[in-house]
Amino acid sequence: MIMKKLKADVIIIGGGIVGCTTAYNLSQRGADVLLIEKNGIGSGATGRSGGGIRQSARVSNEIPLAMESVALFPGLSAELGIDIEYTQSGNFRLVEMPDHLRPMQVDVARQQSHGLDVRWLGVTDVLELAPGLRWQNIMGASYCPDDGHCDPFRMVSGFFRKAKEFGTKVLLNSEVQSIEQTDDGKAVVKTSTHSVQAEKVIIAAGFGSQELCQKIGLDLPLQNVRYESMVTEPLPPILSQMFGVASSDLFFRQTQNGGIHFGGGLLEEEDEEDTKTTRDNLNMAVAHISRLVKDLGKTNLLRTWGGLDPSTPDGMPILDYLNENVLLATGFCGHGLALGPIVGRYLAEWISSGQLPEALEPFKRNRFDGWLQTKWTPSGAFAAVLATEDTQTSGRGTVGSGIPFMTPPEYDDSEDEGLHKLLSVNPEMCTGCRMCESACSIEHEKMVRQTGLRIQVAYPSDDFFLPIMCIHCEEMHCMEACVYDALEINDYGIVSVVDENCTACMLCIPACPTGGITYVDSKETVVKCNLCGGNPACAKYCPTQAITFRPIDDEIREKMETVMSKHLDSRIEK
Amino acid sequence: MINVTVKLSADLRRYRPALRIDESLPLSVPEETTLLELLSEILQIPAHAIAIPIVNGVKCKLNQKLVEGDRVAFWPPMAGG
Amino acid sequence: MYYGYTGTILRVNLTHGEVTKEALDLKMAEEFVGGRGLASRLLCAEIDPEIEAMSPENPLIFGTGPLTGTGAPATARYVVVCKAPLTGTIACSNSGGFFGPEIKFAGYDALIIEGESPEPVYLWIQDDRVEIRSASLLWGKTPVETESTLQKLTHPASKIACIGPGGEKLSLMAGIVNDNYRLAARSGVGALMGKKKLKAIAIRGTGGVNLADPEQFWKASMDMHAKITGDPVSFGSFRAYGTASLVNLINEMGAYPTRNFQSDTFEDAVKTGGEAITEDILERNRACFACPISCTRVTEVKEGPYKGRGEGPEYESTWSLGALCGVSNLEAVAKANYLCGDYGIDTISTGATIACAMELFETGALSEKEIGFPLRFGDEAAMVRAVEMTGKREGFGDILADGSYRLAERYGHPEFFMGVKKLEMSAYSPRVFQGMALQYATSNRGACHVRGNTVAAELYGIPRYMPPEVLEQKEEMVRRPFQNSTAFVDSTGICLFTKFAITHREICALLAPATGIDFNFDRSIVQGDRIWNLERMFNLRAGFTAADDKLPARVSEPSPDGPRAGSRAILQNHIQTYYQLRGWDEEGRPTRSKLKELNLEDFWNVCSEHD
Repeated sequence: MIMKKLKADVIIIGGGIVGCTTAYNLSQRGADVLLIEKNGIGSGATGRSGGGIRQSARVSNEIPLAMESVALFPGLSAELGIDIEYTQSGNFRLVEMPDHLRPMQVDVARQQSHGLDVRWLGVTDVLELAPGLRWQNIMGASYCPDDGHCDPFRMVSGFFRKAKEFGTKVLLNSEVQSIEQTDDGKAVVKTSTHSVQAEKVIIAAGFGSQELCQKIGLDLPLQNVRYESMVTEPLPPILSQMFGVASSDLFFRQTQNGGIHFGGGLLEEEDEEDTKTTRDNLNMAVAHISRLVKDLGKTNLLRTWGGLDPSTPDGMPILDYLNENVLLATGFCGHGLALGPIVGRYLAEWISSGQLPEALEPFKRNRFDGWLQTKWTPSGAFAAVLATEDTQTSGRGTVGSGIPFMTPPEYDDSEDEGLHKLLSVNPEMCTGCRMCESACSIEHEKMVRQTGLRIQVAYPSDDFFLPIMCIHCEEMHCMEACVYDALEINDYGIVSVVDENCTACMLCIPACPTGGITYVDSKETVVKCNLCGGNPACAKYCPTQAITFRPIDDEIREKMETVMSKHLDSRIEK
Repeated sequence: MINVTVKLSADLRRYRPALRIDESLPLSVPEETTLLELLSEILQIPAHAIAIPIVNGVKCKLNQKLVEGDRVAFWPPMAGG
Repeated sequence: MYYGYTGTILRVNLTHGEVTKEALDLKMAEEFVGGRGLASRLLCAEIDPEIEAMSPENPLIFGTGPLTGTGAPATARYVVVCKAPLTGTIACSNSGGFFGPEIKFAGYDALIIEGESPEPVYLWIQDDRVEIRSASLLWGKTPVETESTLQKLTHPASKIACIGPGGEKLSLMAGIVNDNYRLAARSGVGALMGKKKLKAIAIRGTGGVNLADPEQFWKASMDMHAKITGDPVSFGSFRAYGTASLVNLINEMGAYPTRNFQSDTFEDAVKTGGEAITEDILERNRACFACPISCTRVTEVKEGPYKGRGEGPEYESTWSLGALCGVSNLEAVAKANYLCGDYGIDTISTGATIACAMELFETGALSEKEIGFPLRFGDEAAMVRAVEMTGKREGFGDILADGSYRLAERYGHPEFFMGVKKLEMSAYSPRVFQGMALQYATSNRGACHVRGNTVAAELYGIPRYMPPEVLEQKEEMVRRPFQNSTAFVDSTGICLFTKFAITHREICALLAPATGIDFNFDRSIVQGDRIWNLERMFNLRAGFTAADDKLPARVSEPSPDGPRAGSRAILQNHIQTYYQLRGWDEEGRPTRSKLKELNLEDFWNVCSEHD
């Protein structure tokens, strides 16, 4: 069979909600998009989802993104030209047991502290808003008035159709077999029938993402979980909101055609591509919902189904590049439907502009660096809602940026073993304190002075300062200029002064482009940096790490040379 | 549940970057919530980041319980001249 | 051979144009440490405190500490000591930057400038060469202009301390400016420099500071470095937000004096707080000599009527030009701060004087005609205009330039002067902070917050927390861990802002290997006490009595609003306890046994007859 060769700007693997919203947004911006789907549009988690569209009951770092996404929903049906049956009547999280009362109230406060309108309601207020519930088993609930639910099929097909309208091409029933890179840096994705070349590839393949990542040699902390759901025959309207509970993963809502759509119960890790439903889980869910909703005794169940969705250790998706071509967008932990629209928008923005949108900062994959793979259970849904310290994003890359100039970058020298270290200067961090001068002078002369220094701070303006010294260049201009053998080179390539040979002719001083050699009256010789024999005092003392001792490459050295030679005249001493 | 307001100052605002400088967060919290619980469970700010908790203008200890209408403000370690 | 100290004091007589060098008396140095202590001791040997402050006999003494210029963390400090033109008490103003270390590098522990020059001059000191040169080219220039011109006339690396037009015009609020933007600000020391027609001192030192035990010194330095850079206050909050982050905190507590101390909360405080400064006008931080804290803020207002650039505003300046005047416009406050720098006048006294004028205007005691324009609380444009007039001594500014005490007296409302001993109070309400109330009342240079900043204990809990409203045991706290301790630290050359991370022990651990002299914790307590008592004796001889250790009546009235409504300063009962703890009699005079304990002479016979 001959492979058909295609080209695109962006290949999207996965025709679920994320794949389709991203295809829509990208092609709307004029990109040439090819969507490759293993089965059919929305055949994965999207089509099997509970339909909840909520901002509430999320970990803190997801709340801003969820709020942005939910704000898009009221206008979606019009935008997509299809009624997605969006009902914005609120989301309840019901508390049935005394032990869950306070933790849920605390969690409501937590979410409020991120600016979300979510409240705690006592059972009377709950019943007033949702009279279809059985009050006997309910102690109260968290209530978010702007949450809701919609029909996931209609939503995903709406986005899919719009994407095609803007030119997205699609390959259905096509499984991706490999993702490779060409010599000139493009990606090539192959199915059994097609070979497609593109600049960028987005993996939005839900439960299939882990395997795809492994095809490019990467292991991501993704664990597929099976969610089991069912729907009843149509009933008269009894429930308008979306419901969850504190005690398990049970969810329920009434669809527009009247069926009660519910599920959860127990979530299980699933390593096979198996969307079965189990008798135990279904019985559990049926028993649970019967305790909470009136008049379900004689209702018939129409059908049941299972679905797979990948979860991550912290309950948040991974939205990040895996290499220069491949972007991963998965790990929505069973609540990605609501985030679909905004994620599609931001991914398109990221790919078009090349800049990471600030809103996507919390979802980078480096937050899992060094993550201890302890045993965690996705069925701790309530635990995820309570968002303990473990489930919050770690301090790495947290929301918000550092205070300007204040936080010196952390230097990890664990890989420097055996590498050749030199002094690296980062002028932006320099506060002009001149501790480097004092440290250098004490180290070599046992006293503090500021003439005849091997390192000197320059003040080109009132808000830019930098230390200037020998950068241990490869050209060794000073040695070349010396005719008295007063400068010699050691085994590490560091030039130092041979005092007894120095005649103070000072030919070396103008030869150095960065002012690395200076003359000391009292010694009657020149002096220069010799890295203090391997533990440079200036780097040790610099309080802001404007000077660090580390392996540096030619590019850094060139930059240092350029900036230092430019500001030689602004040194305190010449 | 009781209603309180919370202000975060200086570099504590990085925990809620959407908050404007003088904006107070209105929160409803369970009765008898202590300042420490407010910090660690609701705001999820490490206790060591706070040096000066002030309730209704008075510096207090982290084990103090909140009451209806309390105005809470947190400051990191700081000093001045 | 001297270690830590240079061993030489430079004396310049401007009347006769003579320069002499004197040896440092090491015994005196041991007793009074250096900096504030040594310079005050030298002053006591020079003059009778009864003299007129603006007379040629009053010397200006620039004093460094033994640690100044040694390169240990935050060792940039120097002081300016004299009899204060503003208050008549002893003056000791403190500054950082790079000027102090340069004095040591040039080979001097202190500079004594006496007499008066007939014409404007500047000093050019290069190591042991000293020239008195004409400053006719420089007279009228701002400190920034002066510095850049002088560096061309002397040496590009020379460090400059100078007066601005404020000092030239003898404003009693004038300070001395070094390194462009730093001020030895209070008490009018700049007026004395202006009276001496000394425009500037340019100094360049190619030498260094000898250390008795360099290895041990640097080890102790490294320890201190680690403690400071690990401290959340010294290294965290000062670097990130400077001191102005206090605005919202002190206001939240209802202790932020507003509208000339009429109340203690300012409704618009947040607009001029540290967060606003960082977000709107901050360019970057920079540091003084050898300092890891780098609390200086370089700021700029880029456009608009208040366009300008400089350093700050710090907490006190933000307050005095802001809330104290009812002003909430950050750019106007920043501009006023830059102007104070350009004219070389103290921001605290300037803001306080304008606030006093505002109250006089609003009560009708001052007319628009006299000022030239309406001067109401909250009017930022008027405030900035008033600063400018004051710096230039133009129009009504001529009266403002001499401070709020004289202003309030002149217009018949001495009760509108918010200070002690003619020096204006600063940004902590004494109604709320009872420790500060005592500090303002008893501080040797007038109502000063720095010399015993009890807010550290009354708010941050350093060394331990003592609620602000309580006065029991405050007397001892004010006396020893604050007033005496600060006197010691001010004498060493290290910056007070390190004190949140370290104690006397760490400082003595530097002093001993630097100087080779046995500085230790116990001696440091005595040294601080000795310096405080010496300053007290100066003031007693200058005519101050226990009656002057009192606060303005207004702060004994209840605070009208805010979370601390009803608080008031309750000093009266506690002054006597304070005197007793100090070893003074009921008139606030040191007793004989106290002097004996401190090995202090009874200069001028001012002490108690009691034992």
